[in-house]
Amino acid sequence: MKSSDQHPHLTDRIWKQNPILAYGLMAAFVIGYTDNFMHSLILCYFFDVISLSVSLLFFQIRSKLPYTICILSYSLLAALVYIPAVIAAEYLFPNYSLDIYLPLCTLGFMFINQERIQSDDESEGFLHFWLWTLFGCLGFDVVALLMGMIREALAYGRILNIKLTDFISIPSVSSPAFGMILLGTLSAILQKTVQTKENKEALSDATPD
Amino acid sequence: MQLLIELMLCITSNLLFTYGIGISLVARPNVKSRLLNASLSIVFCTHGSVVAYLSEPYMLTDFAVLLKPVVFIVSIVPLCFLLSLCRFVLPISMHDTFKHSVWESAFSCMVLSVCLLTDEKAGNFHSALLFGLRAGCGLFLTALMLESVQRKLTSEQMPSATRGWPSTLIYLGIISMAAVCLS
Repeated sequence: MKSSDQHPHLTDRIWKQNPILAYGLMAAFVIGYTDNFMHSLILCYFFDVISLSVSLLFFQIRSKLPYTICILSYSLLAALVYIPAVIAAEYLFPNYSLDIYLPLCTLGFMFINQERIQSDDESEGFLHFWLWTLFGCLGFDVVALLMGMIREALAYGRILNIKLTDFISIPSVSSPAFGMILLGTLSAILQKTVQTKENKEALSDATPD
Repeated sequence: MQLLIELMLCITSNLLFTYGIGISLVARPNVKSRLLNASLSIVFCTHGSVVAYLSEPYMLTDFAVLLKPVVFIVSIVPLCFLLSLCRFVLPISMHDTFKHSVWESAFSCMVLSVCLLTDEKAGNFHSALLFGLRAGCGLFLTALMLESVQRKLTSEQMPSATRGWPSTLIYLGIISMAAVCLS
């Protein structure tokens, strides 16, 4: 493993090491729920509120408990944070409906921090742990919003209520099947850009000054 | 014939194809843990749907949506500990993998979504049991299906940009379209 993999930059979590595009974590939420831009916003709200709140509460207990109790305590904590998140969402998004994907956000933090849920690294401070979660959430938000935007534009020719074109109308774009294909395409674009950048860096390193 | 119909139902009404749920569980690069997680999901999905059906009458209508994740987590813990103990019948080298797989598959999106969908899809105990069993078996069949093509999807013949996770997603998307059409 490269040293850069052991201590990755936080900002890499947004694109280069995006949890969805690079590792395939939490893909179900994005595939199923982001059929329009409004849904993407709602999903981002739920995911960020639950994950960031739990990371605030969870840091203190994670290294002191065995793996099983750690997972269990995290899940219960997330399920409890979910209750006020739903109540607040009713005021923020009055017309939204609680689809099956939104309760699944209670499991999001576990995926986003899979390798750090029970880290033995004592030197890792609270701020670094919280920023790690924050940038993971930002990576999730970028993909969710991008998917919502593209799917709404292709399905209805608009984004939110802004009309883009009258010529495009493909309703099947909202289906999970298309979600998988679109996410696969975005993931391929990420893989290609990372490879191109690495090749360029290798070439510039090999070229004598 | 009945078995064949059940098999078709498992594939066509699979939650992965209809909702995109469980994709992270079956598309992981480690084949051994993928199949292990998928087979453990059969137990957890069946348990989840039965618990969801049995707890429904005791839920306060206004709070049912809020409390379901908590009920699910509390109910699944004893089963997790019981299955975790089963690792002692396996070789020592598999203990850690098995333990992690039990907890990973128990707290996967698949099992929680089965719990949430049971009210909508099942009207009595028998259909709730069958719904959970079908969901778990569907996931296992998808994992097997992916296993048979995984070597090609990750081979050198694939363009480097789409090799691995991107091609798996596109493949599942196409299969998903076919399954939805069949159902």
